[in-house]
Amino acid sequence: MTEYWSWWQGGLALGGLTILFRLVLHRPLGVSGSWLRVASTRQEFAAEQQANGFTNDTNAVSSALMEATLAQFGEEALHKLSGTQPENKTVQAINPVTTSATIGQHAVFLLFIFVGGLLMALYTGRFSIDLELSKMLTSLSRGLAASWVHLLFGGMMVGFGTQMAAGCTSGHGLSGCAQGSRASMLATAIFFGGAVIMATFMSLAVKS
Amino acid sequence: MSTLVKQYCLNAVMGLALGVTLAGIGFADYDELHRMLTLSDSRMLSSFMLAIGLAAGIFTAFPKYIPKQKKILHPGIIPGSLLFGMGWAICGACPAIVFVQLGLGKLPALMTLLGIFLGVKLYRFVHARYLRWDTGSCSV
Repeated sequence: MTEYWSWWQGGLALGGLTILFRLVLHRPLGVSGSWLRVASTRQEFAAEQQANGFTNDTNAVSSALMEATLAQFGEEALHKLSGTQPENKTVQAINPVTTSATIGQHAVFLLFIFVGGLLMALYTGRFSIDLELSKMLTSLSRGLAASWVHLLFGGMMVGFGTQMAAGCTSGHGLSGCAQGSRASMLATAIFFGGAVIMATFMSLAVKS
Repeated sequence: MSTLVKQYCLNAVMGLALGVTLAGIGFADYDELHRMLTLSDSRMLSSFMLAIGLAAGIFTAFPKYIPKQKKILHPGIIPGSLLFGMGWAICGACPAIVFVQLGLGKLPALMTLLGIFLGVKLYRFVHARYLRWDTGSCSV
């Protein structure tokens, strides 16, 4: 089994990748955005099919838009649009359809992260089919089955949190911070701080 | 080669490169990550900082070629980031790392994958019904 890369090798590779991503794919490096697109596949396909079904029927377009608005923004937004209940609050929803990259492209991107990990694991001799992620986690969870449940909840926190914060270690941490975004710097400080506190707590719990 | 096929290939290459890099650094190793998070080993943190510094330097030097990313401050930043950070420490994975862990043969990462999927779906539901602020976009 070979050693991990040194800090400067890893930094150069990760930094170079962050730059290349912008130049090659014309979008910032960010994985949670790809997750959102892939997880919204059904809605996006439904929208696409609905769009294909439209001819020149403006009534059909209007009613579909009304339905979509209602589903995304709620009745409040319709009142606001019609002027029946004026409100100053900005009402917006997450919209997964914002660039030309298709769901398929995002899915391929995610799939090849797996392939990259697999190739590297085979190359370095780290590949092994394992039911245990870490002895520490199993010990802390007091059993293998319980550790899997913890991973499920941990994963849910990651999925929910990254969508709520609109970014993760790559989107906020690498791309956002590198571009001097205040929102990303704040997000990175908080998620890193939260992770440090939780990891320290877990470490102390294992020792006690 | 059509533009669409080219885009698929480019996404595949960039995904592959990201997977190789993350596995090479060791971000998918649960215990290695915890050594970074408990501040007992600075190697991965130094890599992360160097990566940000390098990218920041290039982005600043060539603003013409690399358009600025729009990241807005919204009410979800603080609670979302805190939730993500704590989840990251628990499962040892962020949305990219989970795929690398699977590539390493770590079957428990399937639970993390399922959890992330459910979390994304749940947030979509909660956001549309109760939150309704503009979160900007993350590379979409």
